Amino acid sequence: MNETVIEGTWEEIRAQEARLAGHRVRVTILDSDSRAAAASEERFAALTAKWRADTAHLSSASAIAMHPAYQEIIGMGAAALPFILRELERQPDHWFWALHAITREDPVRAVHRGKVAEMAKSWVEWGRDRGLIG
Amino acid sequence: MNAWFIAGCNPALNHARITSPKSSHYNCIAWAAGTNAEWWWPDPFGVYYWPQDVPRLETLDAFLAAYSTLCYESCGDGSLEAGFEKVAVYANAQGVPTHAARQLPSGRWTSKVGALEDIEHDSLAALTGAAYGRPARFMKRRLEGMSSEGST
Repeated sequence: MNETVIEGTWEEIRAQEARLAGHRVRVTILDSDSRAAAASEERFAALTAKWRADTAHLSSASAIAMHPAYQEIIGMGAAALPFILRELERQPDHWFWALHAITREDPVRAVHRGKVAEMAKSWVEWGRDRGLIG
Repeated sequence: MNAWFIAGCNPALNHARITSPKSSHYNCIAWAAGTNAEWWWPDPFGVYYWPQDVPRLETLDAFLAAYSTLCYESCGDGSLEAGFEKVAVYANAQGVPTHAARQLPSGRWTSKVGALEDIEHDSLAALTGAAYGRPARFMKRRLEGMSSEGST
């Protein structure tokens, strides 16, 4: 069964009445915490997209991590950890400085330095052990 | 490759050929060293691979020292020399290393574009521009199995 998730305020959803006409819908009322989490995730996704687009051609780990969008993600602090870890599991990428900066930890074995897939695996396991991701 | 990168390079880049899928698992510094197994960079946190005992500094000297661990020695330019392979290290206007390319037996060059694709390009000038600066240092090493006269 194909489902499409549309999220927004009730007023925003009502504005799509013509599109939704005739379809069966399920309405879930989000509490303020869920709304805040959804907003954070949207912000993280937007920052990630900007960061990736602007730094894809770079080799310098420093330049990659100093991008303003990446720094904003670090600024989100611990709230960003589930998003980063889920993204890392989905698509291993250069999240390691952010994870280190936010957590002050480093679960990566020295022999894996620079091996992106292994480093990502170590961090994902770290996050799963702490209940940050499922 | 992304449009921003292309816009920041020489128009000669238009003649480049993509030679691999995208990968965030290795970068140009590693690719110029002949590997696609790690991301090489002397970051201060020690996250990324850097040859042991080579200073973890973003300087041309440190990058030359890194390639020296692979038997490269400094040379004057990127011209094709029989019996040798070369790498070129690019730097920005501040002299900070930004990119490295490896010469192919044909005299063309191969570069890994960040987390994007490998490309084969005619000249080092093809990647000269706002994105990477210009080639600043050259190194060469004898091709395996080749005598100084260039024969096996």
